[in-house]
Amino acid sequence: MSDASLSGAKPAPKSSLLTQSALVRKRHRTGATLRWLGLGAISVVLFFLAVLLWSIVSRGVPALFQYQAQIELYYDPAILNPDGGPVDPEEIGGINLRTGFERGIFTNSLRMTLENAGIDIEGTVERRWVVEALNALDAVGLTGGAEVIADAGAPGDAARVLGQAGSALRAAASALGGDDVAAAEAARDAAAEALGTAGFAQAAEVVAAIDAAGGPDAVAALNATGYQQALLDAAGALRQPADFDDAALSALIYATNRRDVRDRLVENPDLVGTTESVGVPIDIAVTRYLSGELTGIGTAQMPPGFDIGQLALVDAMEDAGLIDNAFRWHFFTNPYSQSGEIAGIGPALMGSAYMMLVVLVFSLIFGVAASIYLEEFAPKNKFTDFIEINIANLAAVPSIVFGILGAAILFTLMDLGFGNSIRGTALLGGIVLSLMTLPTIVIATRAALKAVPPSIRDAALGVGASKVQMVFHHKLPLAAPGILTGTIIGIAQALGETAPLLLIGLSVSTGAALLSSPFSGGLLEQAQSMPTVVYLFAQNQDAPVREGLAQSAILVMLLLLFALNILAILLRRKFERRW
Amino acid sequence: MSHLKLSTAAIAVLAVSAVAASAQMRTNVQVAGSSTVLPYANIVAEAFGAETDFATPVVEGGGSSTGRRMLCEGVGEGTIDIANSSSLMSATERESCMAAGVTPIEVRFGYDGIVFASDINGPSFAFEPIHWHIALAAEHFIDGALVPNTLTSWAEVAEVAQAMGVAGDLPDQEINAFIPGTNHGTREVFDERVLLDGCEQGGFFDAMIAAGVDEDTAEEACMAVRTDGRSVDIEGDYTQTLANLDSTPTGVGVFGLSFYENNTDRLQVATMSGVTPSTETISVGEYPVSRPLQFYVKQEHIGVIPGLLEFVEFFISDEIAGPGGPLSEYGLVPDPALAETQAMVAALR
Repeated sequence: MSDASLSGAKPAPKSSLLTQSALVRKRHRTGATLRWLGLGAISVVLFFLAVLLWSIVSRGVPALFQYQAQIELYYDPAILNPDGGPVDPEEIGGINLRTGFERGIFTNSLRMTLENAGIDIEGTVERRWVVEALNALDAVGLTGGAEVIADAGAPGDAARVLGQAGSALRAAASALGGDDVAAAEAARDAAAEALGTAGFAQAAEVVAAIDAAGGPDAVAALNATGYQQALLDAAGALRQPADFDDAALSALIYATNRRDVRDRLVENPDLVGTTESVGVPIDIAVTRYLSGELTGIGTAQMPPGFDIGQLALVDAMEDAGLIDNAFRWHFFTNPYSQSGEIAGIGPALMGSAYMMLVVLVFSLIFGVAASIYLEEFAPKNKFTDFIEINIANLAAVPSIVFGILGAAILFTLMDLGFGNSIRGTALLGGIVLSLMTLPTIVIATRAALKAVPPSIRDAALGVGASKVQMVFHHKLPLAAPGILTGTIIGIAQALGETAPLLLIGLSVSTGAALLSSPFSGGLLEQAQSMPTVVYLFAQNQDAPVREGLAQSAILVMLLLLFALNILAILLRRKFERRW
Repeated sequence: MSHLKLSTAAIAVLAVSAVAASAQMRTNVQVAGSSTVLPYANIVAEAFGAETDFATPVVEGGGSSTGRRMLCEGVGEGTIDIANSSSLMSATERESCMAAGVTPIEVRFGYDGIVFASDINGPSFAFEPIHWHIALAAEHFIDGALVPNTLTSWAEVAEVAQAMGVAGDLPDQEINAFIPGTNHGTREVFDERVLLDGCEQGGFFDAMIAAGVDEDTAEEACMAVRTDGRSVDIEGDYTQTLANLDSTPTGVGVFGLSFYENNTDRLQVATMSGVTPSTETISVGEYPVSRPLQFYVKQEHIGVIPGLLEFVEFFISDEIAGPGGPLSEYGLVPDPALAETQAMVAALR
């Protein structure tokens, strides 16, 4: 048969191994295309990963550092006892934190520190606003503003002079738009006079421009000068220094809820009347100015809630070396706070760690027990098939469903007399996450048990070991690395799970403290968790929290996940046995 | 083997500690509800924990209606003590609450302005309520019939409003509105103070009544929002609205006053009926779109949960909720009638 087909075939064309036929070239081309496609796919994935990591690292790392002001904190007896006389140590504990400490000791100490550093507080603010007023005037070509302001005396007086000139121009514009010629001319003269009185040389030009344009165009000519708006803007700027008060000064630093300082004074009443150097966080909106993210010029570049007068003080403080940028250690111990200056992830880290502990204990025991039963003891029938299929199904159930399940557990337990104590605790969170992790661990454990060669099992049973002995002495130890790897990956997955926790009271924003030991009730205290705290940070209305601290928290969580995954890889490498 | 024993022991300890702790009395106040009130409640809870010797209250979000539902679940340690709410409790809600043995006490602590803001680099807007009705209504009542809304730009909206006798120009910019979803308390205020008022301002409402439509149907028609994608319901909070504005710079979003004030580097605010929203204009009632913020306290828990009444008193004290306090610094509009609320709460003692 083969002879026939061979003889019937045309003689094959001469080919050489050295020259490529079209078919070979095509094969090579396909191979190359495939290789490039694969490389492209990996590049795209790596690119997105890099973008993701960069967006997290570039924001999260700088946010781990905090600008703080070095303040000479003076425990002023006059504030601690407003009635005068000696301070009663018993009464320090009752002093209001806001009026006595934030607006009292801290604000006064800030003022004192600045003055000691040679900063003229009110003068700095005033000079900045005067510059702002002059910029407004110069922009439209009103020269001589500096003299006008200097002649007027205080900025408030200058503001009145400029304001009057501006109002006169506005009145002139509206009168010129009207039909009454006499009134229009009077208004024109009044405007020129107001400008002249203020000391601007442009008065004559204004009159000339209005006369030259004449009629309805006069209004346009007047408006085109821009004098009117510039004068009113300048007047507005000059009115600002008078508004600068202690509240505006103390807004620069964050000294809210300083119970720690009060407690320290209660414990050491001797400190009253002494001075200590402390670092106080700078307001988080101002940090965006200090870091250069906002330039402080114009509304879009102004830290929300602040003005250029305050920023001038910040500049002065920076020049005097009163501001430094220190690592935000308290981020790892403090609880979440609405105020980004002191917000942290301490309880969240602990809550997540405790939950992982619960997950480890529960899912490992139940997961391994279930796998051993299914692998070694369960009869192969429709019922166990059904169970197997459903374990696989369970692994695909969306996590939010487990949250609803968790809420159901919550209510059942409440009926059993647990009270509210289980809502929002690490124990409940751990149980819910265990349910979610269980299928992953069961599948990994069964795979690991299956991977142990049957010869081990047969040999053990053959020399007379019981089934229990065979499992626990031989199969389980050999499958342990695989089980551990599966468990760690399951836990890593559980660590990042947010949805179920939102439904069972773990997304609280206050009230969670660092938990006590798991053996003395720490599992039953109000807990937070890492992913829900990231969610809180990401929802905060202060941009530096939303776009800084949220990323810092994510960074910490990612590092934990990397550490867990690396641990899983190391365990696999170390204990893996190939058969 | 020892590993297994250890884990069994650990479970036993967990179970024991669980039972032991469950016998303890709850020592912290528990609060849940509105995401608008959440930042204020956080600030007060943090200050309360620092200032007093009571435990820091546990504050959770979840939304106004969820908070009220949790409050009305019943009495006992397993239920929350305070529900934050940016909208008022309805009569039916109160009834079901009372049926569960819960007496909710309404405590108003301030006002919140609802502002309309757009990208800071775009043109500025000066709105009248009628503009929003014309722009967002699903159907307009024209010449005795409801006509589907096909307007696409704010300039067209202003033209229609001018034809109705309301002056004012709007930039020639596409209509892309981001309004709070129906799960928000803010939406109710937006519906009533903006859409319905705008409907009445333009005479649509009266025209419908005159055409023989009954009042409820007319109100519904006034507040029905178009569903062709020009108006997007934001179910999340204001950060999500801001993110939407970032991706659609031609959009106009609805925000709370405090959120706007903390994001003035990204947003410019529109005037409403010629008034710029600010703490001052809202507290004197000039700015039309504002709503009271309140929380509901469970009367049955007062005196049972330690620190509950003290927390309520602390919340509405002049130092906290009054002018110049931390809440007004954050953007709350102080309640001029705070003293009355304080007296009402003091009477609970």
